[in-house]
Amino acid sequence: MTTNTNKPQSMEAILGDIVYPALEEILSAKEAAIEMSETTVLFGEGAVLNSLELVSFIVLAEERVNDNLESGGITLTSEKAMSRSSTPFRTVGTLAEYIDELLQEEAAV
Amino acid sequence: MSVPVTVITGTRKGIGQYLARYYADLGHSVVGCSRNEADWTHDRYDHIVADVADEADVKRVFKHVKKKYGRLDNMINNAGIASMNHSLLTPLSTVTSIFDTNVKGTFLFAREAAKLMMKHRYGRIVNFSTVAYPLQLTGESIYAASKAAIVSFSEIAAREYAEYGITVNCVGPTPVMTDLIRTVPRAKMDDLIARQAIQRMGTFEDVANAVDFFIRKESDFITGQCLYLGGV
Repeated sequence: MTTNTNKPQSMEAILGDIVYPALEEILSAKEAAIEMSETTVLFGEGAVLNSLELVSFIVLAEERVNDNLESGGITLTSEKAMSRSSTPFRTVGTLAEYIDELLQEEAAV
Repeated sequence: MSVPVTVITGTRKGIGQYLARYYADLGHSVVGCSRNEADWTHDRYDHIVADVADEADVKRVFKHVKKKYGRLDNMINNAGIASMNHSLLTPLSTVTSIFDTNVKGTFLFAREAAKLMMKHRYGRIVNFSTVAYPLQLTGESIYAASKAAIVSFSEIAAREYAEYGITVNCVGPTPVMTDLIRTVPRAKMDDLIARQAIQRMGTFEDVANAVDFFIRKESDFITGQCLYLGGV
């Protein structure tokens, strides 16, 4: 597990400590086993999550991000995320990149 | 069952302080907040200086709750401000400030509370409206509009959070003698009370009784409701 810090984390840590465990927790409730990778689709056509599962997943991922921050924490569903032409919640990989971006901004504050 | 954990906003004085002391006396672990330090203490009460409309401040409150207790059972969104004025004479800054505290504050605390509650699939959120909304009181258009927004938000959040075992309800108090109404002329207050089925001022105990009902474990089939006091 990563240490409690406001410093940016590596992409491996973001995937391994934040995105995959959060997704695994949601997918564990499903009957069919789903393999996770950076191309796993989270939102839109071909998504492995329904809309309610996506909400729960984002809350879980945000909690995992914030557990590693000294500050109150960030909000994944920011205005910035919602106004982009392509959503950062589309795949595991795009979400990890977006979290990395937010953590870099948080560290710069 | 373990000790209930309860967050209450606007606890420095008035109804918020009463509720914080009341639930702490009942054995709850209470976390409260206001824009200034509290001048009272209780063994089971933590006070955090926070602006309810500031997202970073709100997140800080819940970080404290999560770190210290790991869960949250009850969220009581009491913090609110009012301004009595004819809408033709109401400056925009007043509108912004009333909506910031009443609507943004309620939204932020409900959202962050639900995130913490959903993990344990249990939670009670009680928001505060007012009888000024159904009574359509003149001179209170912006205050009543902000409290109407809280009712509407609560009704929809109730449906969105039901999946996670969280109920969302509103209490709509009549006037209670607090700083919020101290400047309202007596004649206006008498007119308002005359429109209630039970014609008297509300008390802190009346409000606590309604909150008690909504946060009971047995109230798990009651959500999206607004309970107006005084028979309004």
